[in-house]
Amino acid sequence: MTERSVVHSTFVIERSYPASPAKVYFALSNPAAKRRWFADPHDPVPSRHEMDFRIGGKEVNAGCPSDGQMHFFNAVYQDIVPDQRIVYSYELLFGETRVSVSLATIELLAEGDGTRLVMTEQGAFLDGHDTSATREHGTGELLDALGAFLREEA
Amino acid sequence: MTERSVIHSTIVLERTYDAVPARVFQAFADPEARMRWGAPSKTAELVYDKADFRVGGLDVSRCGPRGSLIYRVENRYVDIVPEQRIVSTELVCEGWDRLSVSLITIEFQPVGASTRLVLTDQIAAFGDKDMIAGSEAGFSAALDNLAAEFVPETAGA
Repeated sequence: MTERSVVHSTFVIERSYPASPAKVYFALSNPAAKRRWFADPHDPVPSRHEMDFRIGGKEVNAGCPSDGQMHFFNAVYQDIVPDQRIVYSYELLFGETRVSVSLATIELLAEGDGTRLVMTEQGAFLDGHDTSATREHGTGELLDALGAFLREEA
Repeated sequence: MTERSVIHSTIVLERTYDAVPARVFQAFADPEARMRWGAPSKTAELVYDKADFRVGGLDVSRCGPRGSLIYRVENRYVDIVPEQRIVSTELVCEGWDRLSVSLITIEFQPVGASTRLVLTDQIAAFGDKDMIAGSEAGFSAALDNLAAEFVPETAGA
């Protein structure tokens, strides 16, 4: 029998971007735009990305990184306030193993001509397959990739 | 500069029940049982319009003061390990307003012939900090009520 465990955690990551909240929101909500920065750096071309950006809509990002098994990011959009807030829950699966379930809140705050993004991620990490520290690091890399995308577009 | 509008909190509640994990787990799996113990008080009511206890399944319920069920709750099951764990997301609405979203983990651990239950509610409340206290009070009262499900029927007879 697998030893069951759940570790709960919350982390907050902040970034400042030289783009308006409307532009940052577009990069988060438009599937074609999001595809350009929302990628695993170890597997930059996902085998499947589907995104239905509306409350109750789902997003799936599936890929096969270096460890050889399929990884699935399955999200449900829980709350959307255009240009201000996106809340979604997601599970992460490695193969058929559910690694974590998380609730992510992204808040966009106007800051001069730019935007301060505050991401709060509340997570439940299951059975020791992954850690909050690893997730926080990976999420920070994604938000840096979003920043690079926004600077390219500027 | 715009202001932040979401309040985050983590609520942890622990209880020990005089029943094995299989029975306590069943009290969560069965919507009929949940309607008995899930309302926080005698003056409140909880009604399930839809119940689908399986991974990916959705429960839809209404609750509030008896005769005025103003809150709509959508609970989506994300992870279920029979007799051990239930993880779900819970969205609470009043009319068209979304009040909060929670990630809820319920863990069941055997302690002798009893069960230690730990409920962790990781909540994001939209604008109203009273939702945090309200969520904690509601779950706390429901978990107290749940103990009555395991009182032997012959007790005191």
